[in-house]
Amino acid sequence: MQRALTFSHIPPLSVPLRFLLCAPLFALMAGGVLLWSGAAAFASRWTSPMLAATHLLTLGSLCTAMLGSLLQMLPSVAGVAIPRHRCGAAAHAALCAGTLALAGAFLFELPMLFIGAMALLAPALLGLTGLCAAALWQRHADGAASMVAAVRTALAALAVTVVLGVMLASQFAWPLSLPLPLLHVTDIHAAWGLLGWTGLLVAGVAYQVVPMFQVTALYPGWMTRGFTSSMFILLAVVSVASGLAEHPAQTFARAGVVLGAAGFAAFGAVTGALLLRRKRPKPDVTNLFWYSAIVSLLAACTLGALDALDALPEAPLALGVLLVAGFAFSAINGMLYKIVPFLVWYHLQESVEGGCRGVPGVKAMIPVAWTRRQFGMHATALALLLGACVRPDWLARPAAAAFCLSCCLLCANLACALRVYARLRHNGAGAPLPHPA
Amino acid sequence: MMTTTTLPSATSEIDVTGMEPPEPMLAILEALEALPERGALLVRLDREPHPLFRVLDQNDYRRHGGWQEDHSYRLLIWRDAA
Repeated sequence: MQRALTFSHIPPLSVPLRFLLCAPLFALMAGGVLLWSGAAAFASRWTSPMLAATHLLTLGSLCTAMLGSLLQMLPSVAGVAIPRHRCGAAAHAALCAGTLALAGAFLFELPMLFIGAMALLAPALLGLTGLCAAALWQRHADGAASMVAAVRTALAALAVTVVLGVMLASQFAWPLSLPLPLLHVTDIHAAWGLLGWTGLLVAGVAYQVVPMFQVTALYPGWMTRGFTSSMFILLAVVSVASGLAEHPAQTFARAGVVLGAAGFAAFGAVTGALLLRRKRPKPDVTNLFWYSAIVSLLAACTLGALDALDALPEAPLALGVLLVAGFAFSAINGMLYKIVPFLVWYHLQESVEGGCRGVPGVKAMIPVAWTRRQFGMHATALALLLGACVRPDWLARPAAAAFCLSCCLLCANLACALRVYARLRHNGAGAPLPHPA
Repeated sequence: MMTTTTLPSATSEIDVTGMEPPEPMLAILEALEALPERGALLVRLDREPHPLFRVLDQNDYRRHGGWQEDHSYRLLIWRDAA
């Protein structure tokens, strides 16, 4: 006789989903801003639309999805319990509202919106950072030590990013209140956000999820033991050295940038090698997104190491496209196709008659052909975005439109899995699946 | 993790290494369905299955596991006799 299992300990599906589904929605908004602004947005990384789109993508899409993934993965993979707290829902709401306020502040240049954004984002981000950090003080599973260490450094980097962000936003809210070298502090803020928080977190999570979901060999010990802490220390040292006017400090900072680029390139190369040698040679769509992320990372490292940022006017914008849309968003897009169906499957175990026999497999929740179509559109959008850095007059709107379409397809695909959940949860029994295209 | 001074002998074994989530959990739950009342299932895995531990604890299964020299994780599962 079928023995029904109890899964009642798990939090509701809405708890991680509210964070994860922000990724495509805020990315769509970022694309919408670029579509509306056209070529003017791509004139430089300092234009109001580009700053708004950048923060919609980095804060609303990437940061929210990464924090949501952490809240889900730390208990599942590292055996670390996150204290359940109603503040999580409030923090999420503040994060979303603060991101919208910040984007609006950049677009409409209203000091009040900068003040509102700071008031919402700083407590939300620092609160969620504290929640995860407190959980990481617990004893964790033996096999997850490298991931836990990486997450600790990534959270510290997020805290630094937030503090620098508040300092910069205060300059917009109360101009000339602090004598800040704006350009330098912005570069440091971007470096801590993209390389520290995003880069180190993706690396640390990859140590677990690439072998787990892509069925590859484990990452080599020399990488998992030292990479994230070394990069963190390097980032801190370069941040200080680059702020000093003396020539030796500037030379040291430049050498640090090259070393950092080499370090992240090594992570990219090792990940690529693991994926190419995996036990299942036929790549699934998450594989393809990882390849996209790795190629973007390697290209970004090359651009950074070659000191092209001062020589080529389009290079800083291209670097941003490669790191944000290419590396980080590609990795998260691919992981959403693993995490969301798995969460739906896991949460349906108790609801559906027959338990795991009555629930469709994760691969049946989203038609594979649709996910590959979305990857194709994502890759097209990336190529067009890079082209738009060089020829914004031709390619800005096509690139933005392609990116928006890719995000819409991602939303539609994830909605497939959610419809399965809604249908089975109401019916409590097996139901026809969406017909795969 | 539960500890016990006397571990039952495994009456069936499965190897879920190389499987992508949630295939390992699915295979283990199906094997547990087929387990006789006093049986014990020995599982070879790629990693410590924390989501599975919570399910087992909630459903009165006992377990004992550990990492092996070949970097796999061995888990013995049996139903609480009480």
